Amino acid sequence: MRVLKQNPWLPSLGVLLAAVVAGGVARADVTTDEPGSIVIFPKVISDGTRDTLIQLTNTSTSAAHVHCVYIDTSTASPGTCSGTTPPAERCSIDADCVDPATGNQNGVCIICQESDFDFSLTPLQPTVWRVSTGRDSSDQSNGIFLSQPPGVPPKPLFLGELKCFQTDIDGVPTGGNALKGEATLENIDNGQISEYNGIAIKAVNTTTVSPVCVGGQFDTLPCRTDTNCVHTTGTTDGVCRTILLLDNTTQYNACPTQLVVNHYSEGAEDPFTGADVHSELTLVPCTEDLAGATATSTTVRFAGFNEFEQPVGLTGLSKIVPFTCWLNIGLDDPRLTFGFDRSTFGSTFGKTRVLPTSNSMSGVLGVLEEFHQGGTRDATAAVNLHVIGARPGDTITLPSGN
Amino acid sequence: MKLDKFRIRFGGVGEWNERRWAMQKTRRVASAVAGCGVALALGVLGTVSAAHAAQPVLPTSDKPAAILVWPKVVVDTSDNLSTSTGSTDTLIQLSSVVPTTGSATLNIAGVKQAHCFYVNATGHCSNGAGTGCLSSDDCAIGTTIGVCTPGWSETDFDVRLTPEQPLAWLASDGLRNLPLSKPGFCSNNGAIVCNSDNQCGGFTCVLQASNAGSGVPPTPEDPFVGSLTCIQFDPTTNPADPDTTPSANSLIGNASIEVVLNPDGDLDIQKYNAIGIQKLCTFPPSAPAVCTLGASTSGGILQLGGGNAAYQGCPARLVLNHFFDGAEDPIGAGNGLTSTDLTLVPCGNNFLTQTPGQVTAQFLVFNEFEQRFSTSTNVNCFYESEISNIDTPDSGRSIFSFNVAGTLAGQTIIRGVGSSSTGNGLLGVARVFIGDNGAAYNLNERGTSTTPDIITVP
Repeated sequence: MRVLKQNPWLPSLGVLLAAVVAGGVARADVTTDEPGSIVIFPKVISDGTRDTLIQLTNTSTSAAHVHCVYIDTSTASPGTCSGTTPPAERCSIDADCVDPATGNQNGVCIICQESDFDFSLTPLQPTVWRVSTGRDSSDQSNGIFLSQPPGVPPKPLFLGELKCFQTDIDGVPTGGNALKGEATLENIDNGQISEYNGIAIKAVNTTTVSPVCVGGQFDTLPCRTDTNCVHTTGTTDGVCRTILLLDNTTQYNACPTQLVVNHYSEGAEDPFTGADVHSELTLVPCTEDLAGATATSTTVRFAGFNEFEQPVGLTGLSKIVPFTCWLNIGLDDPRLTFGFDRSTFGSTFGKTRVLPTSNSMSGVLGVLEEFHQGGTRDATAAVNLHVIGARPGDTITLPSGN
Repeated sequence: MKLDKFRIRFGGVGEWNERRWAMQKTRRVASAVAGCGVALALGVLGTVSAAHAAQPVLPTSDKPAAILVWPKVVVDTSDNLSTSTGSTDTLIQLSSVVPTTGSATLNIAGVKQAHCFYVNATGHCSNGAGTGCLSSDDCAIGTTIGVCTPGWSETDFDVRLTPEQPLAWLASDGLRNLPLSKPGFCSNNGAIVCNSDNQCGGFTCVLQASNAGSGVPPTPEDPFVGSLTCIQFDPTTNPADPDTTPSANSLIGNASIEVVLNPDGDLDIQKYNAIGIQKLCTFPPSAPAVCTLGASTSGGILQLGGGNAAYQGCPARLVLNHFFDGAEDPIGAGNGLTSTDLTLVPCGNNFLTQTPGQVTAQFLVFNEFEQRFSTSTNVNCFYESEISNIDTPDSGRSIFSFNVAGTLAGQTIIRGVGSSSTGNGLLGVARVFIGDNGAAYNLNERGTSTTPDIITVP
């Protein structure tokens, strides 16, 4: 008979989880089942080995205008050292943030570069593009594609997230809840594919979210461009921004308080195929400034349970894992500090809650991808995470005009 | 067979029940259509708020729920079916999101019972007794080609999940030895195991949350194609009834269809989330959720949607994004052509009288030129087909064919039409293939069916 030892940390973990889930009292329709006004693809890859097909569809009988933003964390985009001596030092890799003369470390290299594009969908129109090649605005060979030049830009090297917003014809975000999408990750060499549903955030109403001045003399007043926010008295200029509130009440539904995922323990053997299975969790922050300001840094913890109802590790909680912009983490990553590996996990299958920490500045969304190592190649499968609770307070900032 | 009601609901380890129903007429296209004829403070708080914070109008594949539906479960370990691309099995994952606590008493009260039904939609060849099939393509036995006679049977079983517990099993194997069969221990000596106070010499037997009373059978046959439905019951009632406690929406699930493609051991894994149908609840401020809304469920009649609904209504329409069949993969040179396999199941089922749901599925198909096509088909308990075989056996002439549609991407809106309580709404899952490589994904939903669907359990 197996003897199970009561973990002394368990009550505190239970209290934490209950507190977390009890925190949300409002509805949250961050959903992979229904169309929304914001569609998020947390994991988009184009790196020469894998590529991604994005499908985006207008489910309404009216035309839908779309503003999309790629958020790239690959070395194809310029990065910024996280330190302040000097501030805003450019980099491509962490080594670029080391002063060669003194050896002083100016933080780490953070790459989080947004680039945007716009297009329109006719009523009920589906569309698709390949991330590495994009889709030219003049390409009508495979259906109507009404885009503003240069269409969907090619991203031959890309690693990150894609967010798409439903807008009015002037590019101002609006709540039509007409967009749905899927992403298909494909290995270019062997054709292995993973597919997941885009995560939709529904608008609470159909009104547009107009830009306002942020900071300066005209703070919170409506604007069209930054020039509307230049001071006439005082010394501080504001900037014109569109700020989307994921508050559950006035604009968009809120992000969840936690994510839940069923998974294999790391390196566990699949009972049917005998393949070793590795899992990769991709997380993106809900709060983002897509107007070129600071990338979002936030923190999460992981609470794992095995089949014996035992919490993983001494406390049942991982160390706090900070990340900026985009987190793609294997369950064997040392940052988790405790054992998701098969030998210490205690069972082949598990369930893990992903918890933004109490003081984190953003909720998170994500997907899981499995890699089954059998035969001559890895077989892959992606799945959307389950969501629990509502965490009002996240914001997405866009430049004026979008 | 007539089953003892008590045993159905409290099946001991290894106990499960199977029913069969004679076949009725069916319509089938060449590819693959299987027709069928016929308060716990903490725990409560936790899942209360789970439901509390997120009770959408429609069924959901990304939130905990009271009813889980896996539309497609396939076992074909010998690669017999013409639709299989290799030895195939399905891994089912089922978890509870009730938070665990440091209190054994609270943990026991947080145990949830999943009362599950495998719906077996495997047909059988007229020329080979016991030979499973999905179409006559599977019935070329020796020199004869038989007819695939669709059939329907259900097998039910119970799984008890302790708080936070994840479980998984292969559909072909089931799960006989569950992880937690722990007895209690005596309060005066933790080393003495017990099941009742009588065994503790005047002291208390401290019971613990366990899976006792659970058993998952293997699918009744191999090959097997069908669906799985699990309904959350409250094991603290006797007999157990559908759960109406504040933590009535506590189950999440996934399925992975696993295929061994060739002797080299190359694999294909297709994973999707089970579709959850939530128990309807109200959320008084600063109080546990009230999940006794709607028509009574104690008689085993579960009303999904409509007036006085106890559970979320099924969607009025499903929305499928897809590539048109036969299109060239825009990424991988030479990796193959695209195709999509669609599985649909009715929302309603009468597991008591063995009356499976029957629904007419209407399809509206849009290509990237905004051109519209339409077709329809019957869903008798379970339907699976490549989309380009929905409207015709000649896939090259289908409205779902790239040759006809002319574009790579398509949107298909699927509407269930029916008049019976088991024949209104539809649920489904899709699998996209590029060559032999597949991936599964969930369908989108729009609008709530105004007519209720009924699930009746013994």
